[in-house]
Amino acid sequence: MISRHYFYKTVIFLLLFLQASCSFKGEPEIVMVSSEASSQVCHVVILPFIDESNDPGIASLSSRVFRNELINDGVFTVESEGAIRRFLTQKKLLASDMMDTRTSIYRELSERLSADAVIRGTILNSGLERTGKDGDIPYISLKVELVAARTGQLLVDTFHQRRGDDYRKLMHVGVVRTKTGLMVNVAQEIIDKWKKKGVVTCQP
Amino acid sequence: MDNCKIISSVAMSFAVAILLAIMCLPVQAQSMPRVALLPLGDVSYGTKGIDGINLEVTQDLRDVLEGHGFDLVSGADVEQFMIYNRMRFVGYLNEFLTRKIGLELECSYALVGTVTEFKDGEKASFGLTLTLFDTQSGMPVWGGSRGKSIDELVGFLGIGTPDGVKELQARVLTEFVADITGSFGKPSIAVAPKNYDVVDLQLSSSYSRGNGLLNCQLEVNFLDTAPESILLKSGGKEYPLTQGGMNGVYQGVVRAEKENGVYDLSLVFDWGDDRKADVLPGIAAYQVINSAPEFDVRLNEEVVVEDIAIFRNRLVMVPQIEKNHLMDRWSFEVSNDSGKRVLTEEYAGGLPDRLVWEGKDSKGKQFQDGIYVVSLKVWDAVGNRVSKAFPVYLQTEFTPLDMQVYFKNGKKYLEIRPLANISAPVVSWELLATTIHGDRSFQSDGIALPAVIELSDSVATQAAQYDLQARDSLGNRIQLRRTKVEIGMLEDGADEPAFASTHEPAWLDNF
Repeated sequence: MISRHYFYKTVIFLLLFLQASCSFKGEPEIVMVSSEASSQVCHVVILPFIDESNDPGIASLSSRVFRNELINDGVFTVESEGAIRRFLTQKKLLASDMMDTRTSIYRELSERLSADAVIRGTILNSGLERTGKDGDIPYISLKVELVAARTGQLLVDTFHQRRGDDYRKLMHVGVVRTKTGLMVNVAQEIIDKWKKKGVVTCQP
Repeated sequence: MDNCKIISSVAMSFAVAILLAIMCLPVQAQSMPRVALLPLGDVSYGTKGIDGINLEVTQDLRDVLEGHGFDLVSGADVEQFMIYNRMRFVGYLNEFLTRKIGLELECSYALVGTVTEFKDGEKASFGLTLTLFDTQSGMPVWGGSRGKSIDELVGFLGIGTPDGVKELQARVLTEFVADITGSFGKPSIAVAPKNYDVVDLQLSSSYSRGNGLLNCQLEVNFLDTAPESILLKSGGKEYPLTQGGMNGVYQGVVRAEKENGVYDLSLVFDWGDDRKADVLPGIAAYQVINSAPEFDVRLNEEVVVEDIAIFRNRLVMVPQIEKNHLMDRWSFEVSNDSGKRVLTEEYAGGLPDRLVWEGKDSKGKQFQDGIYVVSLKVWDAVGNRVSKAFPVYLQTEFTPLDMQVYFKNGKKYLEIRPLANISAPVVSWELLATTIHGDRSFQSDGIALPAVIELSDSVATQAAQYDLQARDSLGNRIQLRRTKVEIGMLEDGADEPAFASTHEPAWLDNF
């Protein structure tokens, strides 16, 4: 009887522990400026992300990973990176020039690429933390905005930050140790949050 | 009966044929569509990725895909395509190039990607992101990213732990295979596909005087045939572009509009047949600038006497010019009072919001006090010039003073006045007269010069020495101690100052 009692106690303890480990800490923070307009977004253009963290390569990594997660999710029609880069070349603009909303440029982009919205991202902080015996832990914090292409109006503002060890399940299990892996999780969480909030219902 | 035999044998043959077709069906279903694998980009900043392209991982991915039965376009053909189409980038595609890849390389899909992480050693890690494009629509149908590190894959007692980045990479590449295979046949949405791709339109200048000529060069690719004519439209007029020396390069000349303003250029592809012409509005723009902008210079914090700014340490100039008027260059010149240019500096671009001159030459040597003419010249983007010149007075020391005694209406006066015609106004002065024995004789002060002090008879008849200190509005100071002066008895009723143009007492030199 005693051993059975201890067995149940141990099982309950483990279940509670696992539940706590798996629970979501730090969901993306989202501000929906215009929920009606954001629900009409079907075709999006993703601008190359801007790096404000001085982490070499993170801007391309994060924008390409985010783009691919969005393509795979299938909630939006995602314009190719080549199309937006060609537009920027023709207009003699840098990606950073597009961070300040200039309505005429956004409208032109919208007409040229038939886009409903522009997604722009800024990497605020990123790097690898050396934790000694625990290994390298990547971290990232970023801002992703959804802007109406025709009007330049901000539709959705999202902030998210994550560390690789946020995904720890037990001991070292689950810890994400690459920036790519971390960005995949971060992108999925942002897209899931958008879905949950009704951003990506695509009702043209 | 024969007929029956024939019918039955035909039926048998038909059945066998159907059976064979059914047997072959799984083989056909398993055949892979043809895929063009483009060179992978590299943002990993690893030793392999410093040039932004990673051919080694590209080849490894090619080997893995071919090992899983993929039908890949040869690397040489992909390379030729990139050269011919002047593809100067890797890691991404656009809709037009994807469709062109499909047509020219006869493939159903194009696979592009970027190595995101590549680190060897104990903490080896590898990351890759891939995108699969449908060459029919030109749109992406699948995208995936994977990253792995050795620390994530440490097995029990180290068993199964990858041995370095190559093994890690092999695992990641293999994991992608199922994802890619599963994406074949996935529908993609074509978004108004176009048969042309405008790479760039360059004007010889974005600015012109009215009716000026602008050379234009268009770089464009066509999926099949080129249009019958290519035109640039500006303000209702059309300018034809003709094929230049290189494939896909067209050149022409546009005459700028006459009036000031910003003008858009539209590109027109006229296909000549019943096909509707394609018009791309706002493909480029130019600005006509016929006159120089209004220009003035405001001086900050300076003392102005007779319309001349006087300064001691720094002359602060604030140019007042139309902000939207694009400037090409500007110059700053200084000439001395004899008209000789003593300083010239030229700069590219527009004027700064504020200019500061410290009264020094280009080597940092201080100029002598005196009058200078400062000149600011500005050239706009089309060569219109506007300038502003103004005199300034550099005064780093207190101006020399003159002191004179004269009689008027039977009374004796002492006058102190600056010798220079232009100088910063004096804001305070103090005079203390003592006898040669050191006894205080009289004291006076004021806030402006020249000043006239009435002397009592007792002062005027004794030899005296003076302490004088004064300060001007620029902060220059003068301090004279125990300066001796002989004051002689003069004829009563003389109006002229005692020392005027005859002789001056020696102490005045000290001022």
